[in-house]
Amino acid sequence: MSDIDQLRHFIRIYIDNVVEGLEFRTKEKVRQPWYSGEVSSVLNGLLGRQATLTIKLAQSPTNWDGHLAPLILRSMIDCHITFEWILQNPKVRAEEYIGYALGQAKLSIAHLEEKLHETPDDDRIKSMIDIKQSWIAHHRLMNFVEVNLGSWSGASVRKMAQEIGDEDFYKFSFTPFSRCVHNMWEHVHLYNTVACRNPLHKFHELPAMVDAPLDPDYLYRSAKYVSMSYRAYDRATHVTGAPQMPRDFFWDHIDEAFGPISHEDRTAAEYDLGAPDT
Amino acid sequence: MAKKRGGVLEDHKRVGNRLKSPWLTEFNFQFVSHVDEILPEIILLGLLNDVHGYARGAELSLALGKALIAIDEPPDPLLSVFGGCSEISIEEIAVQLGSDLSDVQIAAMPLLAVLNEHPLVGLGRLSIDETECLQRLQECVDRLYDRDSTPACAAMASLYYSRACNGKLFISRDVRVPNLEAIISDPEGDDAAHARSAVRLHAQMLVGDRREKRPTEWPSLFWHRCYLASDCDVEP
Repeated sequence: MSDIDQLRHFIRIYIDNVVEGLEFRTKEKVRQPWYSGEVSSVLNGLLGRQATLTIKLAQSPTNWDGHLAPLILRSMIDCHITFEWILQNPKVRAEEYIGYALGQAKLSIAHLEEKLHETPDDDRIKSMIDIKQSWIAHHRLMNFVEVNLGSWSGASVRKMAQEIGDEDFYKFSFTPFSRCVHNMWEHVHLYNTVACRNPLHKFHELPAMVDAPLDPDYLYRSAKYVSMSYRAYDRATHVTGAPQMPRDFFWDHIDEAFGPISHEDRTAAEYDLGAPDT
Repeated sequence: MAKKRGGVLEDHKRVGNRLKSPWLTEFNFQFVSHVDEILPEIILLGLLNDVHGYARGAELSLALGKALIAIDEPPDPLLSVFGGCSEISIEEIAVQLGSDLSDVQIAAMPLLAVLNEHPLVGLGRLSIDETECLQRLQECVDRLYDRDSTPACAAMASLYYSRACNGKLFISRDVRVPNLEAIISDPEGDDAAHARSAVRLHAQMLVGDRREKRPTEWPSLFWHRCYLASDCDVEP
């Protein structure tokens, strides 16, 4: 097989592993009394989100760089913190998680209604309102939907990370990737500028698309984050016998795409201040 | 209870949403930028040194200082000091410079090529090759850019020298007077380090104090004109 075929093969079997893990957990009966209705919907949805994000990243190796991969990885970290935090009080927090989204949808309808007042004949706005009303009605009656103008959990992501006992995950994984997500200077300066060498211009920066190297480490990170969520699910639901975790699968098969990985390289890749591998 | 911070934030205090060092909370230091404010102010001194050498450059800065005193200005040959002069004052400066005038004119050419409305134009303009002027200005700015470099400290030393020789520098008898020559003759030595520190502090105080008392647009206008006059230079 050519190098590219080997990479395609690795990506395919990695995706299969992630999907198998997701399907296994969906099929297994969970015996915990809190596991029903909204709780299962939320947990399944968030697991589906983690699986989707790592699969989408795997499918686009050209995005395994510092420009785009952090957008996905930060979202996966956020998703995992949310997931673990909900698991600490599933019934209350899953309901709050859904309720917040319904409130946001209701607020959107209010904004659209204001716009419709200005342009009463705009059918597109009417259609958007209908879609949102239907989505809310799928969950509950509009009058029972309250709008929460704060954060959905009532806590910052940092506080949530503290409460799940993993503040380092916030400090050393979530925060660094946030610089890319929020277009902070620490990221923009490194990835999107090049220095003008003219002293008369005060060596200002010009726009650039820095040629960031492609690095499978980004996929490894996402394999690790989806594994963390799978593991948290298994711990809370007592589901056992699941397929190999994506993170372990990654290490067992990555050499098929990129050749043998030395112990030193693996140790270096696994060094992470912010995400314990347990 | 406040969380105890160690390391780099150990001595910081929380002010609203910001953690500030004691430099900002206790001393009320006022920031002055070498690049944005001091460099444009000393650009003429840098050009004098570039064109005529450090020794002659210092002589000319002293002559300019004397000329400024003659029109009741402080003896600081700064861009904004000349920028505040009337046409008549500039004519008087030209008279005071006497035989030094042509050397100042030559050195000032690159500066006046970008700031053609600056009062120094009143000293009289020589025929200007704009491309060459821009090249010389660019080289001068490049040399002055690093505040610790010999050219930058030499230009600030000229400022110090003009103040000292014109009787406007106040110094205690038991304070070690900086050896300005060491900046050039022995830049790695202790005397040079001491002198660099002294001239930089002096320039910061002078420019900062002037900003407080007589705010000026000349430094920012200088940079804007430099930007407009030249193209970006990016490594291919």
